[in-house]
Amino acid sequence: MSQPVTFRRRAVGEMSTSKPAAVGRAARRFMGKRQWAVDDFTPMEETRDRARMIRLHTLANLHTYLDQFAESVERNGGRVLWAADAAEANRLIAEVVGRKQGSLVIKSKSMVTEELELNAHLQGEGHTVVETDLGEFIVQLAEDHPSHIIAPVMHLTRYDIGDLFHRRLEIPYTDDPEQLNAVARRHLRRFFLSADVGISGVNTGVAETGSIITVTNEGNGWLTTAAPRTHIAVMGMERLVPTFADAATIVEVLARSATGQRLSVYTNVVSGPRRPGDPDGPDDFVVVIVDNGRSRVMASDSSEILACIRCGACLNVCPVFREVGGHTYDHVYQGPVGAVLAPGLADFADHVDLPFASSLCGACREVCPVRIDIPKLLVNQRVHATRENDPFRWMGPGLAFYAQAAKRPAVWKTVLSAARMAGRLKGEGKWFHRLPFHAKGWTQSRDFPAPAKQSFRQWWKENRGGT
Amino acid sequence: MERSRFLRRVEEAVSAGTLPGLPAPHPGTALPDLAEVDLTAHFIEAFRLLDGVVHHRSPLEVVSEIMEERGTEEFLAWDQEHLPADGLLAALAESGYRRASSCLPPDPEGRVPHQMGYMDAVVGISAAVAAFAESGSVVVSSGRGRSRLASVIPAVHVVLVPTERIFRSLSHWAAQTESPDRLANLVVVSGPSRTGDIELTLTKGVHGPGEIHAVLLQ
Repeated sequence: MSQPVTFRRRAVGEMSTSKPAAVGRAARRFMGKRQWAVDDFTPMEETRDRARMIRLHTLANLHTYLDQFAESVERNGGRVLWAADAAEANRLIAEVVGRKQGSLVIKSKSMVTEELELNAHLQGEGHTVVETDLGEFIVQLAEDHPSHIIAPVMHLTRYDIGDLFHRRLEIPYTDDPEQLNAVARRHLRRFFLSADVGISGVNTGVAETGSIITVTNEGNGWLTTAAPRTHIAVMGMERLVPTFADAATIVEVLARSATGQRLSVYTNVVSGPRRPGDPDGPDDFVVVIVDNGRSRVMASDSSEILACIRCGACLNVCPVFREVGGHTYDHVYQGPVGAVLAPGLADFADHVDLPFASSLCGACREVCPVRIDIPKLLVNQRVHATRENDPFRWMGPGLAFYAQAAKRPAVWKTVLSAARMAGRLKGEGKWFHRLPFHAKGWTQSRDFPAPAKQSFRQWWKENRGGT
Repeated sequence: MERSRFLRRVEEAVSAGTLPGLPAPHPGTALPDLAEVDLTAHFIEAFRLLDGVVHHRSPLEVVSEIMEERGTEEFLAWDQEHLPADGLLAALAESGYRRASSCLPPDPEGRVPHQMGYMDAVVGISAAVAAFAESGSVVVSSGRGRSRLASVIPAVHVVLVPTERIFRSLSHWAAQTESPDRLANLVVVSGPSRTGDIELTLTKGVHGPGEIHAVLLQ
């Protein structure tokens, strides 16, 4: 019974801070911006269908496209490395970085490297790692974790960030976003220009051309892949499409769904190291393809979740995510997509409670740009969780007790008057957060209303009994 | 892990899995049929919507004005043969402006000192290999005489856009362009660099240029 308490404990802890309010505000503003204008050049429903077909087609033939992708990368002069799990990925990346000790590594935002805990590994090898996405940079300064796929510091206010910059970068305090932005630009610029290695994620790879595509709004993704001598692209094995035209559809859908833009500011297409005659660009281009649990997810009844393009829209619409914030999920992938993906990717037992952190309202399925049936996958995960370690064992004895009590009027009355006494102490209209005995299970993930002062029978006797 | 073992594991996982819609055909390449639009007019509107500045004047006039306004004499640029404005660089030199070298030295050790010279770069000049009406985007590329950093490092990006290179959308261009791996790098730029990371407040110029100017060329 320990698992459901874990999510609950984290949720209670998070909700006692100012973070969820900030997350709720931010999530609602995100959704406000996410409009897919009807007069748009790209018709919404057809394009979503198209994107879904591209993703499912790629997944159904993933080994073929991975093989083709690797050949294309090599044809362009790049290298491909294959990592079965996080440990192997970290080792391979460290080998590429670590020809000399103490390299300066810059990174643009990448969920898969968060998943690998790559920064800690490289730092352990004596390298300096600098996150360059403004949000991720702030997370790194705060020694914190991202709380949203698209907006990593959704949980911090500008006052928190002003205070952080003041302490860590030794600048006079300011909470003006423009000024904080200018400070970060100046501070990070010299890292971009002098780094030995740039590490990026991959929004989508292109099998036919061996290209990797990253999208950013800040330009850090472009700088990371353009300035350092070595560019390492770390790619989850499922992040692939067959052709460049398919990739165009995916990035068009991604930008609209993530932030309401028609395209992100920078859609960066990298096809290998710099060519003879190129005045600048990296000399070395290495793609690290990461499994790390993805083939396990692929082989399960949650395969469809691998069609996800990481837009974050399902987080923003999720009533649970809005209340508890990203950190409560205790995993890099949060919200509805995380609740399916995390138990599959990581140790199932560690995240077995996440699929229950949903009301199955279906908002995530409605909003998903590639129409993933997330509620169905959550139910699948719940079935596995229940088989392994039934979090609802209380239900049997609880219902048995209810049945016994309900069949015996005397017992029923005694229990109810005891509850009413307790309720009077609590106050009408209040909630019990913890019930005793067999009812304990109910309040582990929900509250129970305190009973009214008077029972319905009593009320009837007094008010209508005479007529 | 060895490539063949990795791929075998993936293949086994796919056949054990439960993907919906199998055999999952590819949707093909046909794009939705849409009414004709004035591409240039739409490009201008979309580019402005992103806070880009559109010019119909000569590139020399636009660049000189920006250099003067910013009080700088140095700029980064693509080689003249890749700029669709004859004699632009010579004319700028005549007006006393200096083009900083954007070509890495042959010695790998020289990369960082060379690049550190860009710390305070203000103006960069490049050209669009394509532009998109739908999203107000311009595409810049790498290649001989075409520096990547010239477009992304400076505070102000001036991009020359021949109107015949304006396509309907990224998808329409992707469906008919030559393979992108002909070049090591293509970047679709849609407006000035921006971030909303701090309380979703939009601020511009966080890493890339905070200003982008399109000079339209008929």
